[in-house]
Amino acid sequence: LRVTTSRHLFKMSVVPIPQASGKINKFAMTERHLGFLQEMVRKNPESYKEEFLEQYEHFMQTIKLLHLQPVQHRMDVQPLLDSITFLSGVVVFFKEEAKAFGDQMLTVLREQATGLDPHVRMAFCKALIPLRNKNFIEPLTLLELFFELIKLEDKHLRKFILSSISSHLKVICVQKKNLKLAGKIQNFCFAKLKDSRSIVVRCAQLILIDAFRKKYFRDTKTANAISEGCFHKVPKIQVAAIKFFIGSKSDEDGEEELSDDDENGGEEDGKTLKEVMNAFRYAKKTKKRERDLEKAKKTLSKKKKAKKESRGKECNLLAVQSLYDAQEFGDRLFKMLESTKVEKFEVRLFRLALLARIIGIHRLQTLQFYSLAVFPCSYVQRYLQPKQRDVTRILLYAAQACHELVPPDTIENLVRCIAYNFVTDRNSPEAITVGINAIREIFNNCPFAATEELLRDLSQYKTYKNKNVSMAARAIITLFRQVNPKLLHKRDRGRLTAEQMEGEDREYLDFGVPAVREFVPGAECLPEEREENGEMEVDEEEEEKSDEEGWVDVHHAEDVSDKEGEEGEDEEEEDEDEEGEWETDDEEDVEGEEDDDDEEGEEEDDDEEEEEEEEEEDEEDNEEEEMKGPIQSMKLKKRLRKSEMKAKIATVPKEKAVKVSEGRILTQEEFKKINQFQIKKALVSQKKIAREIVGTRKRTLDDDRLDEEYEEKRQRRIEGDGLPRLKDIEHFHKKMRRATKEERMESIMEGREGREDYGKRKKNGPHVGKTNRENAKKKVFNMVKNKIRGKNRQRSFRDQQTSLKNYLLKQAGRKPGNAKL
Amino acid sequence: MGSKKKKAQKNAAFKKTKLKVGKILKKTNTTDATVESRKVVLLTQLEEQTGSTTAVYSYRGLSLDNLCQQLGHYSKSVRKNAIVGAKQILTSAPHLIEAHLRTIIPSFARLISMTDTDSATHSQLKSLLELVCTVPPMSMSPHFPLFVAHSLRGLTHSHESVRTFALTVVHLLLETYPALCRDSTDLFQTIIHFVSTSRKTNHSTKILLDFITSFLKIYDEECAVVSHCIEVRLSTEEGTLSKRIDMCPPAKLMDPFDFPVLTTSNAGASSSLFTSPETLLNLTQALSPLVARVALENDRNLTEHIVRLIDLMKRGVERQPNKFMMTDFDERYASACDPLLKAARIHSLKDNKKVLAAIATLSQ
Repeated sequence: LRVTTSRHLFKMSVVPIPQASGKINKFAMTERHLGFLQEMVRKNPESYKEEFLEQYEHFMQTIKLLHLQPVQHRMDVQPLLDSITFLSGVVVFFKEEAKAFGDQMLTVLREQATGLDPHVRMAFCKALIPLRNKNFIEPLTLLELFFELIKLEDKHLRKFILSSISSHLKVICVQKKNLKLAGKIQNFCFAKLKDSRSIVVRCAQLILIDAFRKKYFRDTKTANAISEGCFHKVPKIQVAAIKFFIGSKSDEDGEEELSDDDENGGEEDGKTLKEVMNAFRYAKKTKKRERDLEKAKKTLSKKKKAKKESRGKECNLLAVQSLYDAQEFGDRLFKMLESTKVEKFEVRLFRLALLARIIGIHRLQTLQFYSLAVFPCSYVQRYLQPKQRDVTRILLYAAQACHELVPPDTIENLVRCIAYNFVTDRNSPEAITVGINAIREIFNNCPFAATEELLRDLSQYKTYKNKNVSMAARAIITLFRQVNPKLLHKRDRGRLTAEQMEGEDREYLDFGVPAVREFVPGAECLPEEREENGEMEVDEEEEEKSDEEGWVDVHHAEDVSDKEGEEGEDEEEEDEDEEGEWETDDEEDVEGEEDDDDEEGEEEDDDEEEEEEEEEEDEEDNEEEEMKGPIQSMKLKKRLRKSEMKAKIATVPKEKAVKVSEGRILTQEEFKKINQFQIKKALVSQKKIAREIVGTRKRTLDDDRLDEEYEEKRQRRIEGDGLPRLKDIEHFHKKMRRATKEERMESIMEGREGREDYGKRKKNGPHVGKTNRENAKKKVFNMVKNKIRGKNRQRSFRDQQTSLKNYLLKQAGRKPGNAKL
Repeated sequence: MGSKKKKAQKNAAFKKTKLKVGKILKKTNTTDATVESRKVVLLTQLEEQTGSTTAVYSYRGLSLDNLCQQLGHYSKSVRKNAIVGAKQILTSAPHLIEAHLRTIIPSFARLISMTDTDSATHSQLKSLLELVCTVPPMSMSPHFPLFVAHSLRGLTHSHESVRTFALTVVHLLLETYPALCRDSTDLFQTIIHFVSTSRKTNHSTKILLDFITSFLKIYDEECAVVSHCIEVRLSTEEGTLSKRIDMCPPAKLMDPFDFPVLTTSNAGASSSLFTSPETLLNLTQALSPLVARVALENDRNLTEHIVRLIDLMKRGVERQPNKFMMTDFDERYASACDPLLKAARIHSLKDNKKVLAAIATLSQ
């Protein structure tokens, strides 16, 4: 109130004295300082309404002028921009004016947008945003206008429009949860996807993609609307849509993004940017702290970027999965691929990638896709040459497109083609490696396409002198040891694990014959009949009981399959100590088992010897192999017998598992328990195999690596989309060549980034590089007065005498200096 | 040594010439038939010397287009010189004005709302605009809306000097093109708004009153024009008409360029002062406080103006044809005139008999 009254008085005093020259009154001030006026209006809109109205009227007149003459002189632009910023900041306080203000700008933009100065146009658009946020303008009308403006060739405006729409969607969907409006906007964008102007389509597409990634519109409808873009006539739109479904490139390459550990580590020291900035603001400023701040900022921004990237990765699988009619979509894509239309290779590659991905994820039957590889006239075959550009990617797409439901003969042809073109001695080792890797990935997806003859050929490369090639071949062997050992040569087969005996981990028994599970694997760890108690309360008790019962059986199974030495027991005990729960039962069991171990001890020794012999034989030539054939077969028979025995005993837990899983409905906790059990079992059996091999031949690091890689790959198949990555195809165990100088320099420079230069630091103060004498000249005289006086006092006796003499001569009226006394 | 040389000479014929990759050897047995000659380059074509006779230049040798460009210059002095030059050209060749209105109007009218012009430049500019306003209304009419828009923009400018200058320009327009002004709704509304908010203006009161008077006049004139023949008596015996029938429609409809599409103001007649009671009331509401204030200042010289103004206002009300459309017209009119009547009761005004009388007529 006080403000208004004082203002009132002020007005009274001003009005009668019009423009007293030289005196700056408040009006004159505000005339010049719109920013100042804006501040005042914000504080007290009512009392400053008059000033506001003045500006407002002037703006309205300008708008009228713009209607007549949109092109303005360059000198008039800046004042107009100022007044727009002023009004847009203030107008929301006055309702009627706000409405008219918005409407006027809308009409001008609609009618004269092409002629307007780009800055003015941009300022109008920016001014419209707060009006929309305060509901003075309908959001949809503004959206329509924006889509009109997008047609103009104004890069900055387009960018601004896209970002403003995105942020608006964020407000609507996240903060206000106004789903109705969001739906309207979504439908509007869908309609714009069918526009005849390609730029409009592109913008609508970009908005939808962005909204999908940021979870504003994450639904099947949006994904399908975007998918239509893959068939648009403009390549740029096609590529954007295809890229959306493919996801980030680093994902396809299989590069690791920031893992969870990193993020957690970040969180420990991790503060938000705001916290860091605050801490810096209130601490003493030192060089080091400044540097630290910069570093912190950099890491934070990096993290943000990585987060953004990962968001793209997570959504693309979802988008592909939510396609309505994947088969038809795939067929259309394939038709486009087949067409002879001239287009860029990259575009074609993208399309190939998307098609492969869709085939792989949806298990489509697009058989021509593979068969194209075989006919010499087709282009895919043309692509499958070592010298082809981006051939590793093409191989990757071939591997991605292979899945269990493709007929084996089709795949066989494809594999044969790759083998002929890549895996021959006349090719470079890199080509062979890539080829074998690709074949491995294909076989990983459809193991029934493999033939014995081809596989044996490939496995012979394990003795190739190039390590990359030999490792790739060994990787194939490792794969088939797990998948279908019968196809391998006998000495490559290795030992069968318990699971393989049971055929537990195989998803398919034969082509098109999925392994149907009659029970939940691992269910044997649960008690056969659940105690009828209040479930949650007696959980622990129940667990204990179940453990006891379960573990008896399990160890029974293990006893037979395991041959544990003393060392092994120790290890196991340690493991079990960590888990606590299991401890007591196990110890008891182990004690009970020792007898069995002893019995089998002798056998074990025999086995080890045999194995050693075998390994030696392996290393010898093939000729000798024939000689020793019968002996080997004997041993094999022995082993088979043994495994049969094992299998017999192993059926006992199986029966129990069947009983458990048929008898009742398993709870979530029970599933958890089963999972734990399975993991443990896998660990134990792994250890066991490792131990066995330790006994026979020296197990090299390479063996471990191959096994690890295989495990990793299996895990990945279960987890995500289950498709191979480029990393798998381009997998070289040994570095291909030494880095060139450029590469080395690049890595060096990368390390230097953000590091301060060594040596003396450069100073840049105001006095740097000047002598004290020079500095003294600039000092205020009062500061140096005394010093100068002191200097004068330090004259020598002779100087004093001469000056006195001169002085006296002057007094006497004679010329000083030369006169001689 | 000698033998070696001889040997080399001997073998020269059989020596194999070394070929460089990518170079083509000249054949030895062909004749080079290429002809070399020098080109004749024409730097310029033969120019027709036209235009120099007809083009008009200012004393400084600048054409009108150049001057128009310079009018938008950043430097104050350049602009000032350009104004002088333009004035000089246009006075020497008045026919140019009409031909170049398309370029002249935007560049000249833009200067109205320049903030950094001094009074001398303003007077120069004013005389220049007066010169432009010598153009007949017919040729002015397509450019008139733009001109008005520029000057109205100046009228709402936040700078005092600009507003004052814009007032004189609008006054000029009202005087010279009354018919065109009448059709412009923008003009009407902006002026009313201007009058109602002109408390802060510091132009001399006389100018303001003059301005308002001429503003009212244009609408008054319109009323006078309304003389379409409504009744005609035809006497068959004499074979004459009682009146001459004016077959031509009113002047404003004759304007060939006045399409509502081109101008923002669509057919001003509908909202002009003396036909719509609403606008009339607005006007009265805006004017009466101003007139009252001026009257209270008790300046003898202004008495004349005030009386004339009040007379015009009264005439407007009297001639209002559509009064019946608004039921509470009288009450609202009375309330609009209230400030004037109040002023009349104040003691200081008592001496000024003429003004009192005028106000009295108003209230009747």
